[in-house]
Amino acid sequence: MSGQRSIPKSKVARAASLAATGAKIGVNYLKYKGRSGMGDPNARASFHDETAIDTYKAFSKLKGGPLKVAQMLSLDQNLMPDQYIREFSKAQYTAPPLSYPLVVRSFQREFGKKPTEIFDEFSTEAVAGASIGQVHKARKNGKDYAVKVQYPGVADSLDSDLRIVRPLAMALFKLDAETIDPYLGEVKKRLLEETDYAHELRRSVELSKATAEIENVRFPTYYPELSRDKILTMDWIDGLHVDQFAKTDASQEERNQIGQSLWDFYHHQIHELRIFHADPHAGNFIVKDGQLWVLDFGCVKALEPDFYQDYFALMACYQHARESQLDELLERLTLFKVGESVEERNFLRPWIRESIELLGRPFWQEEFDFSDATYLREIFEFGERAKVDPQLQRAQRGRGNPEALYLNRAYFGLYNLEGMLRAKIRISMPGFLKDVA
Amino acid sequence: MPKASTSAAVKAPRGKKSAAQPVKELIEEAYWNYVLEHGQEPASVFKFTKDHGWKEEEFYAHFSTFQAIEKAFWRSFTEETVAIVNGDPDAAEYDARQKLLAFYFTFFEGMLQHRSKLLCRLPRKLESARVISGMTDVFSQFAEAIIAEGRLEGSIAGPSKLDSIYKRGLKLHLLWLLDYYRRDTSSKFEDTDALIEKSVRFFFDAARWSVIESAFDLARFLTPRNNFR
Repeated sequence: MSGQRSIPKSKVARAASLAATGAKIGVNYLKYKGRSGMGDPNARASFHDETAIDTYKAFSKLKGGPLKVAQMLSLDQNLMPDQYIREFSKAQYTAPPLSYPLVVRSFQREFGKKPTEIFDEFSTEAVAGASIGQVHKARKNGKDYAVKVQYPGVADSLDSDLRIVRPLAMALFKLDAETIDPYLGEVKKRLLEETDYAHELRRSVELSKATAEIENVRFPTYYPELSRDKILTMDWIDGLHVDQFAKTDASQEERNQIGQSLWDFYHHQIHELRIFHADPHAGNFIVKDGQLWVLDFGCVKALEPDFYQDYFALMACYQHARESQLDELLERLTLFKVGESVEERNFLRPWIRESIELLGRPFWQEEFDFSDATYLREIFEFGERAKVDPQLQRAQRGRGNPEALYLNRAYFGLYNLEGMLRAKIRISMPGFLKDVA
Repeated sequence: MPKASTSAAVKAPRGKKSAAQPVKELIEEAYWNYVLEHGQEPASVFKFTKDHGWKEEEFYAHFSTFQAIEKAFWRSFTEETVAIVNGDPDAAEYDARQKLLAFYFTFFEGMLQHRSKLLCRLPRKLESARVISGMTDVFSQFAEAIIAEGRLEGSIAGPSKLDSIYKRGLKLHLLWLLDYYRRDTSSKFEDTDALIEKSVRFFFDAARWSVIESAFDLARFLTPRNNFR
């Protein structure tokens, strides 16, 4: 009666995944309630431990939208309990692979040929996975290539993915709609950009030209003739991801050099090009022969000139105690809302001051030592305090420019990487800040 | 009015058995072709067999009425679906919820070949339709196994008196999905997929907060939306 009938397993996996998470969390929750009924202080911690792992597993099976949300939340340390941050930062470049037959199907759709008909060799297993695709190693005419293959349907299922993940994330991380919706809006925009490989290809060409003069920063070449909508081919770069490099016994000098390249690269983007790489995690940077290779140009954000001026001017004002100019700036940056009470502003001022001081601290010295763990710990502790202050949490609703959100995250991501490297960085002050100083 | 040419359109058996000894599958194929092209049953078994060069008694060797053909289809389609789920080595690892999802997804994917049968031949009210009684019987057995497994693994709770209610609930669930599917106009019927996902989740959620959550999500999905598709 029928042709080949079989279970559509991807549908089952997808539908069961989140549902299973819900059930498992329910079970974990019951266990936790049982223990905490006796006043067990460890109960909450181990509830989160177990749940974090289960949740990560469930999210990572889904790829695309849900995984991206998890990554973004993990980068914003204030929103997630530690256990989740640990698990989800793993998600950044080790999501489980898609099967080879599906890779072949993608190739046939895009090129009309199998991978082995285009390349001399093609790895059947992915060498790395990310939220929207995975990377294979290929060889052609004696040269090695990295081939990114996008997961089919990621762009299309975006809306329903985010719809699915929203209630789950809200319940799990105790976020309300007002907090999580901006994230989901961002995720959608970024994912749409990231899934556009043509965009990434163009970006990489532009960016590598524009940052050519930075020492020791290199970019892989992209190959348009071997790329299509959902397949992207570039040079294969053999080396260590920045965090792996950081764990080796590389000398302080090497660490400083890599750290410096990373820093200079970032600041050239921000101050000269008015753009920045919005996703600074270790998986995007490879260290090879003392050089820093930059991968993944999917998420580069542009900086509005007004915002840029205001944001950095804010830092200067605090540094030089010119608080009188502040209120106006803060209003422009929508950190202060027009018409709010004096009490509210007085409450917020010390918090804002502290976070700006923390964020800006490296800039005011000639050299900053990121190996000093106390700085990063201060940032972390500040985040912890901010998380538990109820009045601050209330006040934060609907406040602040989303651009600032991105930029803050990029900076903290950068500091994190420098901290991993334990690098000592020469800080160059952007021109206009020097004038203001 | 049946067109005379239609009977000629019946494929002559491809060099296998002669038309004088119709195999069950031939009768079924001929019947479905007729009924889906004409929108109604043949005038009689007499006419139907005559048009195919068969003897009337040869029809009765396999089926007692036309409706028996349709009934048999629904039953064996469902049996086949259950067999696929039970026979799949990966699915052996599935928990109760995944098995139910596997059944529904496999069922509706298979339905793509037979959607016209659903649209043209099933009555508006499915619950009382006798032609699908075989289908619901087979499914109820499967549902029973799902419930038993769910109890063992702890994903289905509540007093065991509820089992017959769960079973009836699952049967109605299948009919409800079938009804939704036949009215579904979304691209690739992805709305049916979404409904399967949400409604199975709703059925299985035990912990209180997740029941409310999934009910809300399901309700949101079902309220009229702006469908720009």
